[in-house]
Amino acid sequence: MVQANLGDNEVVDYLKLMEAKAEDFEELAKKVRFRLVPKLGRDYKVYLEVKPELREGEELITYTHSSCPYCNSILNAVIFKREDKVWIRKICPQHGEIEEVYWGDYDLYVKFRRWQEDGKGIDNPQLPLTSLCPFNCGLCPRHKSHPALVNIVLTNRCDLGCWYCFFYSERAGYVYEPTIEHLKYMIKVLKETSPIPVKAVQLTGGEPTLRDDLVDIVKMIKAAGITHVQVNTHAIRLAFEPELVKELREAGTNVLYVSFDGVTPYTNPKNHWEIPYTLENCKKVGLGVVLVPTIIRGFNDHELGTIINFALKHLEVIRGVNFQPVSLTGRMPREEREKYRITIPDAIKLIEEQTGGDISKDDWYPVPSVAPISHLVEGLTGVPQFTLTNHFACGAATYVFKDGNVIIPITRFIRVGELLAYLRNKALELAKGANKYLVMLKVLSKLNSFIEWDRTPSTLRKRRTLLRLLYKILVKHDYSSLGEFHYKTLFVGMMHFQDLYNHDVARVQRCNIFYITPDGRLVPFCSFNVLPDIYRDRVQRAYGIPLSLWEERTGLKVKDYKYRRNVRKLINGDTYRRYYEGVVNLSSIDVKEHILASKRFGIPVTG
Amino acid sequence: MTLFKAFSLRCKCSDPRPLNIRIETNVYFIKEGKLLKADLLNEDAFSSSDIVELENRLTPLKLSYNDVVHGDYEIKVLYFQVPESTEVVEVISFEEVDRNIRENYISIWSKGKRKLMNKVVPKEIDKRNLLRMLGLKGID
Repeated sequence: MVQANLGDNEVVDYLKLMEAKAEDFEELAKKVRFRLVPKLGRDYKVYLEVKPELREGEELITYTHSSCPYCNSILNAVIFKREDKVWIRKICPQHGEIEEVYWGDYDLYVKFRRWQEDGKGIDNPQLPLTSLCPFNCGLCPRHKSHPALVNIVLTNRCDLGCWYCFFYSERAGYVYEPTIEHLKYMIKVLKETSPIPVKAVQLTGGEPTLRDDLVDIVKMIKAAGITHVQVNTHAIRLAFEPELVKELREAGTNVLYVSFDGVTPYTNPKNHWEIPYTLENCKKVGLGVVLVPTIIRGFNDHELGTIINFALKHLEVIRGVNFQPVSLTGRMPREEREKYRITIPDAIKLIEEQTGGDISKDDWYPVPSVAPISHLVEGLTGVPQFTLTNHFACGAATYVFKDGNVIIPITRFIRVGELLAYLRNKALELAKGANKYLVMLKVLSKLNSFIEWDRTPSTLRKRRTLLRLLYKILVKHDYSSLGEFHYKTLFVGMMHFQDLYNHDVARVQRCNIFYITPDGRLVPFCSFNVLPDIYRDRVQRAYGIPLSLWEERTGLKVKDYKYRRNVRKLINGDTYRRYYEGVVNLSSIDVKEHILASKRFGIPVTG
Repeated sequence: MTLFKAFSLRCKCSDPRPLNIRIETNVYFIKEGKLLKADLLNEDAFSSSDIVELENRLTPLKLSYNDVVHGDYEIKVLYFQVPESTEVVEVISFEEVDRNIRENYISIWSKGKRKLMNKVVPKEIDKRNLLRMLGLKGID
């Protein structure tokens, strides 16, 4: 039985829970959850009397709710068009007016909005309606999307000390590291999510590879029936430990989600030197990698096309690139925000320029555009389907094929817009009671007409592979065919996580990327990280162990596992040269520049 | 007698998706096994302190207050007169105009808490239907 110490400032005594069972954590979660949720007055205020007005030259798009970046208060916000861009403006009675660019291209905003669909949410939310959105997360019954991917924080320890990061254990003052039994309880919550149980999780941190039981964790999660496990990592340890990469793959890890901000030491001082070795280790055991560049205007936005080229060069191991326009945290004056801010349409335009039009603005679709596929399958099978229904402004994607030296986005040989619109109509017919066999036959007979065979990459043209894959994905909803499709292509995506400056509650309510907290709440990504003091930090601190006690208990010192980089050894390796060859001119960079780039970033250099 | 708070609402918006909805509420109470229609005593302007109560009615319809503020809207707070310590039956009629969807939601409230909420597929609530659902003898 759990002996929770419930003092005024202490919610959980985690040291007493080291041997606790999953059921104990479940019992404890029910007791402490309501002490950790946000409270009106203490955590936020409501100022909904003031409605921001439009000014000359501005055109109303809509109103929404947002939060004040300085006091978290809930505010009315207006979203409007000005000079071909979309803006958001709100007024806090305490902190004044806050205006921010919301989307860099009005036309693309309108095009993407056409694909918006709302989901059905979940049937068994963990929290009742007690507070206004976004201070009721956990989930509450307002939520419109079921979880597509759930993050599980394995540790807040990290072996790096990146200058911009504030939540690793030394700075936080505690270590948050749930036991495997505790993780079992969290997985149970995910499996019980109805009507769509969670099927995909991301193990994250801190740095998850610091946990020596990482392989056991992956095995436990797979054994529990989670079909997709990805590890979000800087991948440095994996560069030096091929055996660990092999074990992770054998345990069932589906893909690594790896930070990769550019191809040079200047744009990617975090792991530029180690990435080639990690990729090589992954290639050997068939473990796919998705590169995740955070885009910052003026810092690495000139390398977007090069990053895609790097990925296409290593298509045998790199499955995708998921760009993340920067989310601006902390107090930042407007001029500084404008300097760094980049939105999805801005990045899409840059990719068009930097790939010479190979990947154009028209090749991108918003995430919910694929919802009609799920609706069709749901109509055919009668079984609730995994459906991506997040806000259209949250993400965009395309698929890119390489045929010899030619880059071919999927939209050049499949009329994607027409196909999805057709599937949407067929799903509506099914919903109105049409005969499912007739609808299926119609879809089958029509599929071919959406394909431009003369423009189709040769691998997909051969024996009409594309048609077979489309049939299996669209009609059979066959996960393995989707996998086969992914192996032949590069997924290029964008996901713009919010910050308090561009914060829109409409996006929060549609979010489908969550964190599970140690007390079993499912919190949308953009609440967990955008309101960190209320969500992330509060619950991790409650379930954490003071750093000094952790060091005493484990006999480890934080400084013992901090990474020190041997730049000379890394840049002299054949693997390093081979991976960047033809992508970046490494000979123009002096070894001193390499060392300086690493040190400036906060990673000491040895050797 | 005491007051039971309910809402009426209309909203039309196009962002982030088209929405054109109307919500009307009728309130009944149960007395001696019979269902009696409650009188509307007062209408009031909607304020931010009413949001969570409104959303308690909206979420079964897969809607939130944030959806409503995205467009042109009007919300009225309705106060119905009901006897104290009685079970109250709230019938919410929901219409999504452009998609020609009409649904009814029946809730039973006891001591200020919702005991039950049912979506009723028939387009109109009629007396017999209500009686059957609630297991009552008659309606006035």
